Amino acid sequence: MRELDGRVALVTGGGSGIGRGIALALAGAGMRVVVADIEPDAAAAVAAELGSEASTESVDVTDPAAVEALAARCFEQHGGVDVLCNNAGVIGPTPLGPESLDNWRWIVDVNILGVVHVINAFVPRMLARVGESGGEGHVVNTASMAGVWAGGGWAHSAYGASKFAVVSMSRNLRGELAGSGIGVSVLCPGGVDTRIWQAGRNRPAERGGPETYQRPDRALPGRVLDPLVVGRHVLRAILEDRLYIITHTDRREQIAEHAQELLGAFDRSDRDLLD
Amino acid sequence: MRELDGRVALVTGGGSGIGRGIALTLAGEGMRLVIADIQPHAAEAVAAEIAASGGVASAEALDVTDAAAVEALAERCYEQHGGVDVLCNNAGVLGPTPIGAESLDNWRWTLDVNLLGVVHGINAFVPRMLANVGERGGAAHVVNTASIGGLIAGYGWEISAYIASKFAVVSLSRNLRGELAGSGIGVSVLCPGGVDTSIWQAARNRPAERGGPEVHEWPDRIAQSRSIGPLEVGRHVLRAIREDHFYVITHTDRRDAIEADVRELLDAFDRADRDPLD
Repeated sequence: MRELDGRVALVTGGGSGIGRGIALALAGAGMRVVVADIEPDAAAAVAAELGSEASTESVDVTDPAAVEALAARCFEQHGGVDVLCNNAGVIGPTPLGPESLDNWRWIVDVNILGVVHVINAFVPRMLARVGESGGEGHVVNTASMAGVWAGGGWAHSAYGASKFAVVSMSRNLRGELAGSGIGVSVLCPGGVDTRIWQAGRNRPAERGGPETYQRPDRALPGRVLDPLVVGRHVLRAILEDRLYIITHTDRREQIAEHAQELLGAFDRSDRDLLD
Repeated sequence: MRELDGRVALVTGGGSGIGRGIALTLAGEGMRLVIADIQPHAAEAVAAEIAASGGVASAEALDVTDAAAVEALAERCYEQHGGVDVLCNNAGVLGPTPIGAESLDNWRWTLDVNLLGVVHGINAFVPRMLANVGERGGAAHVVNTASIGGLIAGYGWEISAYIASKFAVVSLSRNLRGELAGSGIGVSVLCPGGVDTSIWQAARNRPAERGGPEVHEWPDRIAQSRSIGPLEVGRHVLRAIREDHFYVITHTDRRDAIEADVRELLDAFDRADRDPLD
C-alpha cells in the first residue's frame, strides 16, 4: 500500500505502548488515526498528541458486539478504514497448574479472540470498499517474537501460544486476501518499552479481576526498543507489503537452528518408512 | 523413554481416529491403557479391542474442556494405576470458521477443546508426573497431537481457528519441552497431514453453549490429500516416545513450503539488521 496520506487507520490498544508508537508513525505519514483502547483516557491522551485529524474510541476487543458497533461507526463517520492495526494484547504468567486457568482464558480472550472479532467486523467491510474503489488496504496484527520462537519454559506459555496463533491467523488471512488489494503483516517484536507487564490492571472480574505482575528478568534478550521505532517498522511494512515485521534480531540463529530440527524430522520421516 | 512394557498410558480422544491408533500401538508394546473419550461407548469399544488381543485397558468418559473433570481423572489414574507414564493429549476438533461473526461459536469451541483441553491435561497430569517420575523408572513422556496445520499456514481463512489452535499447541509443546528439560519427561508434538479419521464429524459433540451439534463437509482440497491409517500414525508416535524425538512428522509433502516460510522469516530478520530504523 503506497498512498497513506489522508487515509484512515484504526489502532486497537492505541492508548499506550506499541499501539501509541504505531499511531504516531501512521499520523506522521498523514493518516487520520482512530485510537481505540479499553482505557478511554489513554486513547484521548494519544489522540491529543496526534492532533486534530485523530479521534478516539473506547473498546474492549473481547466484546464482539462492541467491536461490530465500532466497525459500523468507523465506516459511517470516516468513510472506511484503510489500515487496520489489531494491536491490543495482554500478558500474564501461566505456571503449571490449574491456578493459571484465569490467565489462560483471559489471554486467549484478548490476544486471539480479540483479533478474530476485529477481523470478522472490519475485513468484510474493507473488502467491499476496496472492491468498489479498486483501492488498497492493509491489516497489521501485533504478535511478538514469542509468536515465532518458543522453548524457554512454561511460565509464559499462554502468551506464546496466543502469539503463535496470531502468526498463523496472519498468514492465513494473507492467503485469504491475496489479490484483493489488502495486504497483511504480522508484527513480531522483542522487548519494547511499554506497560504490557501491567496489563493485569484490566483483567476482568470473570477472569479473576485486576492483578499485578512482575516483569521476569530473563523475559526477552537484547535491547529494549522505543515504541516509536516499532511504529516506523510497521509503517515500512505497510508501504512495502511485507508479511513478517522483525524489530529485534537476537533470536535469528535460534530460529535457524530450530528450523533445521524441524526439517530434520521431515527427512527422518522420509528415510524410515514404517510400513 | 525405552521401557514401555507394563507402564501406564492415557490417551484423550482415544475412542476413535488417531487416538485409537496411538492406544492400539502402545497396548501392543505391553502398556496398560486408559482410554478417555467424550463418547464413553467409543472409549469402551477401544478398551474391549485391546482386551480382546490380550492387552490391559480401561475406559473413561472425559470432556477435556472441563478442567475439574480432567483433574478428577488425574486423581483417579494415580489412585488406580499408580501413575501415568505416557500422557497423550490427543482430543481435538475441527470446524469451519469463515470470516464473519457467525463463526464465533466454532472459534470458541475449537480453542476450548484443542488449546484449553491440552492445557487442562498438562495442568492436571504433568505436576503429578514430575513428582513421581523418579520412583517410576526415571522416564516419562508427553505427546500432544497438533497437525501439519500447526506448522504451516497461508492457504486461507476457512479453517483458521483449527490452524491457530494447532500453532498454539506446537508453541506450548516447545515451551513444555524447555520446562521439562532434564526432568526425565520427554515431549513430542504430533503433526500429521491427512489421516483416515472422523474429525470432520467432530461437531457431533459440539456443546449447546457453542451452538450445539452440527454437520460439516470435507473441503475438496483436503479430501483429496493423501490419507494414512491411524495405526501408521500410532507407530510414528511410538518411535518418537522411544527415541525422544520432538517433532513427529508423518507426511512430508509440505517440507518445501515450510522451508520457504522459514526463508521468508529469516529474510525479515536480515532486513531488520540491514536497516534497523533507530
